[in-house]
Amino acid sequence: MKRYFVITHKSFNDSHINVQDLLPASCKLITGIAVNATAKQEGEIEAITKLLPFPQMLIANLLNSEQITTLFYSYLHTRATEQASRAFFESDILPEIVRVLSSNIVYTCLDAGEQQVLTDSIINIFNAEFTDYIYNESNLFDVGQNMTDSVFADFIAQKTLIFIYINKERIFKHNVNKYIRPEPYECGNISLLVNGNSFLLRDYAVTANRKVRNIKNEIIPFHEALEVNSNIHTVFKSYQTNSNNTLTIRIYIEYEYK
Amino acid sequence: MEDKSIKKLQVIKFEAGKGETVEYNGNTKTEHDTIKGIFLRLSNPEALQGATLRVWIDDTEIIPDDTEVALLHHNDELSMNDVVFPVNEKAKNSPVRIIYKDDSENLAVNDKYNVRVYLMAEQHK
Repeated sequence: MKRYFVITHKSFNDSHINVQDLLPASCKLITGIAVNATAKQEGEIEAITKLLPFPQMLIANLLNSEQITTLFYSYLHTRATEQASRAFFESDILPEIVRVLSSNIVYTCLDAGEQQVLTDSIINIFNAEFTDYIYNESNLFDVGQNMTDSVFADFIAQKTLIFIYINKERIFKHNVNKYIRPEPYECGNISLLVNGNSFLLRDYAVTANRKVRNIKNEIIPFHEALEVNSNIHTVFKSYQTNSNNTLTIRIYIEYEYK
Repeated sequence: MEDKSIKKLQVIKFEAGKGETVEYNGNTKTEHDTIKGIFLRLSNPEALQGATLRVWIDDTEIIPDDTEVALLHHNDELSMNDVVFPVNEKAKNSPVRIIYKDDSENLAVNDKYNVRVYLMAEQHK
């Protein structure tokens, strides 16, 4: 069974390290080693806009609701002139679509304030642009002349979905703070010695703040297990001269545990 | 030989905040026989850098003090089996002790976040 032992050293103000550590009594056969360094740096916050997932199925289901589909019969009476049709659309159909969408599209990841912003943007964009879109670009008045009730409801639903999809980047977004990760940099080299003069690592370049992988991938395995006595000697030479960072170096020793 | 054991998961969840040390004491599930692996997920992966932990199962220290959480952290690009830290300890209601230290001063993680520790268990048929 493999076990791990961690040795931690700190380098303040780019100092070199030259220390001996005791290994645990059970650590007799070393099978691999890993080194990782992190430097403490003040992180910066950046405000970014993130898109929310587009709720296509939800919108499609909402537009199938009865309140919207039954409006067709009232619309029938207004098909004579475009003006009447448009007036009816603005006074009856549009408010209904806006009401259904704005009250039902709710994101649990948003707080009340952010949700209100999203609801407001649905209301504003629909009230300002949807009538023009459906009459000018989709030609509802001409296309709607020979429609039956289900075709009409489908048409409105489809166009609403297309309209909301075209504008998805203006509606489905929220502001989040992203933390900028400190940049990785080469901080120095490290040598590890055991048994007086055997190198486990020799002048191994250490990169601080790099992205670490899983422990199985981080460990540098040895060809064959190395028998050690109780000491390990660490020598770290810093490449930096005035970074003012506190560098934490962790050495992971993988050993056979019986 | 065919492996007849059933794989199960046990989840241990606790909350951590900036600069906090959280100690968790609990037990493995009685119906599980052995713990085969362990991995973690943080609800805010930005807190990963600098976080360390120490774990005992069945009074054996399986993860030594000051081990970086990043080495055991599961993200969306990995399968569970690729990330799991292999262990082989008795389950059956044995004690689990976890000491989690957040040290995310270098990142401005101010909100509390959840730490989930997953124990991969086996149950013999």
